[in-house]
Amino acid sequence: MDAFLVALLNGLVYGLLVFMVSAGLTLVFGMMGVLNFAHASFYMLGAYAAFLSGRYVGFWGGLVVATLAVGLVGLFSERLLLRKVRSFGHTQELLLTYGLFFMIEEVVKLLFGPTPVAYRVPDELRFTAFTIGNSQFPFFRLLMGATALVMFFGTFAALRFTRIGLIVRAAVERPQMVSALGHNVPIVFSGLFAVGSALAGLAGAVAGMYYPTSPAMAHELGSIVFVVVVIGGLGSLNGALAASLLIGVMTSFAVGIESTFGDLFRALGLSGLALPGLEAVQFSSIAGVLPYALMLFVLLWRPAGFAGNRA
Amino acid sequence: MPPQEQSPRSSARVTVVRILPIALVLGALIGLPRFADMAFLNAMVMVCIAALYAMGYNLLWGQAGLISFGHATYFAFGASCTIMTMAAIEGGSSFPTPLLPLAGGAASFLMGLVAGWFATIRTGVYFAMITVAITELVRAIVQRWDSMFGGEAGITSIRMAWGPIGFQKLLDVYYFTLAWTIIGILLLWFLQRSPLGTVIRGIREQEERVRFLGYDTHALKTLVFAISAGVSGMAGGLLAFTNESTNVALYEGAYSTTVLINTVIGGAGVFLGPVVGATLTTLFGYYVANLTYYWLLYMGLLFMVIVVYAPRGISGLGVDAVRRLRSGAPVRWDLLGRFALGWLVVTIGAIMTIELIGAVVQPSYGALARSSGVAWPPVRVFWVSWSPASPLTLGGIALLFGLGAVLLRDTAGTASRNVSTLADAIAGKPGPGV
Amino acid sequence: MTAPASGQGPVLVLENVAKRFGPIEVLAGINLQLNRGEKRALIGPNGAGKSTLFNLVSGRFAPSSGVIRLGERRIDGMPAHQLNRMGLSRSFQITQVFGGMSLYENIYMAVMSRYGKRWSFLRTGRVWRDIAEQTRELIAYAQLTSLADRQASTLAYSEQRALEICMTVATGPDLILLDEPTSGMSRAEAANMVAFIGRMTQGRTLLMVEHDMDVVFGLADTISVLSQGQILATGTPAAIRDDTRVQDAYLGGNVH
Repeated sequence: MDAFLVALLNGLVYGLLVFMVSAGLTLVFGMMGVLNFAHASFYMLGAYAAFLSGRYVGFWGGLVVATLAVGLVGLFSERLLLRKVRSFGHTQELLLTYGLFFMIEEVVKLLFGPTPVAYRVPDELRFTAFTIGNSQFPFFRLLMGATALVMFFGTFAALRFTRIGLIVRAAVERPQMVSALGHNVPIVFSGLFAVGSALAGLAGAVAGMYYPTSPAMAHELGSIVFVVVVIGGLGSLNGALAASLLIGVMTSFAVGIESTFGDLFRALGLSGLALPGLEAVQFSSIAGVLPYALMLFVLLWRPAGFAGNRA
Repeated sequence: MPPQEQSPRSSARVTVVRILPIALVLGALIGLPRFADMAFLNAMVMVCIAALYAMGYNLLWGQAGLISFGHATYFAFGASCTIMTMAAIEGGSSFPTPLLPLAGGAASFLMGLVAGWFATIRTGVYFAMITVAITELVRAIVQRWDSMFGGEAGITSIRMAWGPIGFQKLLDVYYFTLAWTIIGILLLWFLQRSPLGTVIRGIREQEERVRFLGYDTHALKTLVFAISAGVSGMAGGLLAFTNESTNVALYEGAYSTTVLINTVIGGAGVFLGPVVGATLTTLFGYYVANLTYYWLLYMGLLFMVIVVYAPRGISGLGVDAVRRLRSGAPVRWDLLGRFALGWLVVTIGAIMTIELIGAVVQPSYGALARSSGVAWPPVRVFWVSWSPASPLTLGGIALLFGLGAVLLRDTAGTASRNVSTLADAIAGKPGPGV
Repeated sequence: MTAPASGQGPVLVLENVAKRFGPIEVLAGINLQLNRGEKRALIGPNGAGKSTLFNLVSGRFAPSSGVIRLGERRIDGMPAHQLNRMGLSRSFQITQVFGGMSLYENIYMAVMSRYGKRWSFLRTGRVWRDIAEQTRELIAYAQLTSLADRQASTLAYSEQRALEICMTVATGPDLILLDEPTSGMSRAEAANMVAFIGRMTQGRTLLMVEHDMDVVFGLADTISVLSQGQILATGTPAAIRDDTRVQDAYLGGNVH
């Protein structure tokens, strides 16, 4: 039972982290139809920015600097690059963000090398928040989850209760109409793009301490985020939240299972079916496969995703 | 391309104009081993493989309008299955060695049928994301299934002789690869010209219309995906055949990125565009990769420049230029020269910047600075030692960028304009908004 | 041109067809029957559910309840390509032609599908000569021969509309659905279009949605009036013109 609770909490924290990154991506897409391939790169940049600035301004200052810096990078990418290719259509925008994704990884490799940097949880934060039975739940994980929750409610409140939020929500539904009503959609979009990037940066700054901070982290999280968006439906925050949490919890539980495929085959009475070497593979080692398998299943069962049929 | 009313005579001339360069290139490729050294021949083998891979990839993009961001899977799977077949031949199987790429192609075709069926359930960016996810899925499985795919160490085998052909000399490998590349490209050419090719282009333009004409577009897109995967798998098979080994690193994102970059640089809209891109980047990579650590970064920069300034790639620029020349527009050599010079200057500036920063951030540079007692030890770029922090160096780089900006000032705003307008400007035609 | 497949009984039957989008009921229990050779126009005030009904029949959506039959077979919820193979073809309100291809290729593709050549890699055999011949004949019949080699995107709007109709007919359907075939056209163009459609759909069964009453009276021999998700009246143009309920429905929409 304790193990169950711990796995559940870990899964929720990871899911919330994934959601932090997915939220910006899905809002930007909903509003402008741009799938930002580089979104997860902003997450990686957040970790590096916090690592770099943390030496001078301390841990908490690092979080703030990372958020702001990545927000600025996002703003510049949108205004200086993305806007240039807008008239060529969505394909060119997609390619541009893909190029950005590639370039950010290469620049980070140039500056920091291809291997992880030593971005660690500061000592004063290395304590146990609470214990469940024999398992200790570190404060730091709690902080990650809390950041994501604050961000979620913050975004939700901003979208729900502010004028800008109203415009953004309307623009996600009908960009031309909002533009026709006299709102400056390009400015709102730049702002949204910057905020989305900043949130990804914050997520990276928090997560980079726990997971290795390396150039590969963009690619690793990026593909999970895509799965979330395919499952949840682009433009839908609720769908993204549901999919993120589902994937987080599912992965977390799979990691805890100690059986192998051989056990499964035997349990199903299929021990004759020996695929070479698959018998000895543990379920936990393929936990990373689950999100993608889930995506294929959802595509079969509900091609338009959890929420909505915006294509 | 808009079909133009042509008299039979002029269409015959057009055929000659089209066939002649291809025949010349083919002749050069066949005669190449007489002149080239081993290293260049080796590079050309890689060019063939990259070209076939890009052509297979571009079937999906150029014809069906679907951009895959995870094609490495089919390339790598073709390589894996070919090496397994090679191992089987080594073990006594009677599978004919010359048909090895077909083994890889068939395997990737089958995998493409399954993956493509899922990916083409959705369109647009969803398709793009699903291709990424499927690649991750396959990679996660392959990298853990060592007994089948050989893990990090990979699988090795050897090319067994077939009849009189030994396949041991590089020359044999070169001709073998060239032959299969040409076969693959011809296959794609006939597919494009076939009735099926017409329907596929129809799907790209108006999918719903095609559906309401009675075509099952999901099935057709699945088939196109599978053929694209199959040709990519053939290319992967050629790689396995050439290297006599594969490993799971082939399944990584880098191989999906390369083919995408090759296609964009070459131009997805022209049939042989991807070949142009693949040839350029592979040859450049072959020679330049030894000179710099940051080869990939330069590739990324080139990619971005092409995306922003020449969305139809190099071959698109070429097609535009040819059309313009035919239409009798005068060539504005002064403008053209200014653009060329401008880009040259900016490129030199960019290389200086990247190489200097790259050298300075190395840990070894810090160690050198401490041991030598000099704060900024000199760095060699372009056969000259530069002091990274000296005003001369920094000022020089700033000057290069400034000069580039002046020379290219007309292009600064182009981005928001259309590239053809820019081309019009070069050709001396007044265009809208110039 | 081959004649439409002969057969007895109605071509299209709708029984109690309803469609809800969430809580909103757009269509409530539609019953409709089209006989062979009939040309039916669907009219009604905006928001009456014409487009929805049209999309249900043409396979864009599945109905929430009810049965749709094409000839003997149920077609509700069937994907578009199968519907077409069973003899139902539609045009689009927003022109959907293949702009990058020639007019000839556009129609060629439709004829190819009719001959079942939907997967062909090779162009060998007699059938391909027939397909080419059919394509040329159809283009000649439509009096578009002079435009055959023109790229579709370079055609004038009314020519593209004509091409669209031509493609719709080219798959050899039993039932043709036309979605506002004259939308966006001038009076003169619309009049030409009416004549064109009349010629192209001679002897075939037609169901269309149209706003322009001149077009409706020029093409249709029966009219169904849709109002608030239900069929208000069906009858000959003269009968519909005199129907007081129809007048109320239209006038009721205009008088406040």
